[in-house]
Amino acid sequence: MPRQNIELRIRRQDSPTGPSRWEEFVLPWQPSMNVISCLMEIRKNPVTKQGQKTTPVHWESSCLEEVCGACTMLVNGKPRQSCTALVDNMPDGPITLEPLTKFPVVRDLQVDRKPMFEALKIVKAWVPIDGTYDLGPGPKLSQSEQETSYAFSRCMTCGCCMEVCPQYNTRSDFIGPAPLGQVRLFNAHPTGRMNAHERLDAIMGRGGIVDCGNAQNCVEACPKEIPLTEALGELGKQTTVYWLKNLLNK
Amino acid sequence: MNLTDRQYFALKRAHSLTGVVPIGLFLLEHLFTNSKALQGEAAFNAAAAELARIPYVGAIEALGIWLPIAFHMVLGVIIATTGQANLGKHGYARNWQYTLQRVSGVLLVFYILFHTWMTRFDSDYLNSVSAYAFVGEQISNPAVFAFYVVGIVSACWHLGNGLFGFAIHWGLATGRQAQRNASRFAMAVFLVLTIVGLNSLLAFAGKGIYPDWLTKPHGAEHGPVVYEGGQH
Ligand code: HEM
Ligand code: SF4
Ligand code: SF4
Ligand code: FES
Repeated sequence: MPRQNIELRIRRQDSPTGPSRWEEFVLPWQPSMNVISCLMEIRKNPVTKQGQKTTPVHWESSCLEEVCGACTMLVNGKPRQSCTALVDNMPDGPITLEPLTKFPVVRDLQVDRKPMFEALKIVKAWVPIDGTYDLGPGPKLSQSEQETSYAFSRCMTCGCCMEVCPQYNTRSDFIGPAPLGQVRLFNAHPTGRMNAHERLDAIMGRGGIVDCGNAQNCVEACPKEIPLTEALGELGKQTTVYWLKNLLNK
Repeated sequence: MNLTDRQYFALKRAHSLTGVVPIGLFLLEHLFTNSKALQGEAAFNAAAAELARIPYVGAIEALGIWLPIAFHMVLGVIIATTGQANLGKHGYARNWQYTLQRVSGVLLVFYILFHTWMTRFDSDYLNSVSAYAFVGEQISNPAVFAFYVVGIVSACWHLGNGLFGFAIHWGLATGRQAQRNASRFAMAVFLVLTIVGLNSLLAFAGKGIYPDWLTKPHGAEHGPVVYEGGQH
């Protein structure tokens, strides 16, 4: 028996530094709704459950098929993509929506995921191919290598793993699991591997791999089921070997 | 303090290493020696006296135990303050283990200070005729006994679960199955050490569990000859 009405409790915030407040909304149920279509309904007529007129709720979304990560928010306290948060799959009772807590709020449910993008730059999460001549096609990957790399390549920098990581917070410099997963990806790439030491250098300081505390929440939260904890172990191994080599050879 | 990136890395790895060697090794030795209490007062006192006769004991104790523990303890407290526990929101099993690693570490700060004071520096202890009797006397106080139980369980948890963290930090366990195995091993270490540790505590109260089949080497008619009364 589907619900007749959908109740939403939304944590709202008008500006990046402003105070936050809760607002409640009720809307009629329609088939196949997701959280974003609920927000679109509210936008048509932004009136709270108590009958007060308010501003439309602000959120960010793009692909609407769980590949861009833009619409990530806390739905009933859990970080996930709101575009694939289907109302009919949720338990009865009000649905709470909050912005992610580990990133600066822009407005209402939209956060700025810039810290993650900056971290990707720090760890050089790319394969450098710019140059003065054509490098030609790179070496081939084996089937099993392709499969592992494919898993990591699906990261959409949504921030779910960062949200649940106890070591990723304002008291710590830790860059978080998502960029580390990308180091794992690009260090396995046959051409990217040539710059592996640069990425290892980048994660062997303050905020790097040694600041992970092995809570392994990240892997539980990742909607793309990226084996983040395997990446952390693998990078533990790569940094150990690289560190010992340097100690002995330099 | 201004640390270079590489020094920071080395310090963190040193923290991880000291947890296992020498501190973890020392815990094993410590529980082993304490288990001598199962064989009675004389056996334990003899073992304790034997330890004190190790060559270079002063240097080994200072550089091999106190210094690493002080280092691990100070850095451990700093590390614990950089975490933001979120068990309430995300109650995954590993998150519990992560949080308990920190809680047990902080408990151990108090326990280790108390325990080393009472059984290493306290003048009553140093002047006592029988270390075994001194500890027995101490733990006849239920509050002290309870604190010992907390300390032993914390230490065994911290070492056991610490081995899991160690395996991942150093890259010994990378794959999912390998990490699962590391976790099982870690929990087994925790359980075995806890049983051994608590049993040795009971032994100081004269209540240790030491059945016949545990006292004899396999295939032997008799248990080993046990010191009878003779003080060293
Ligand atoms: C005295 C107070 C202590 C404190 C405050 C403390 C704190 C900590 C903390 C916070 C960690 C987690 C580090 C991380 O995951 O980044 C840790 C790891 C560890 N500790 Fe301790 N600890 C203490 C004593 C001990 C003792 C007595 C032992 C030995 C039985 C020990 C063995 C370990 C081991 C093996 C690890 C795992 C290392 C790793 O994760 O790589 N610690 N400790
Ligand atoms: S294992 Fe734990 S501490 Fe490490 S990145 Fe994942 S959630 Fe964070
Ligand atoms: S690793 Fe997973 S949870 Fe983390 S940002 Fe990428 S897709 Fe999101
Ligand atoms: S809108 Fe792209 S993941 Fe939801």
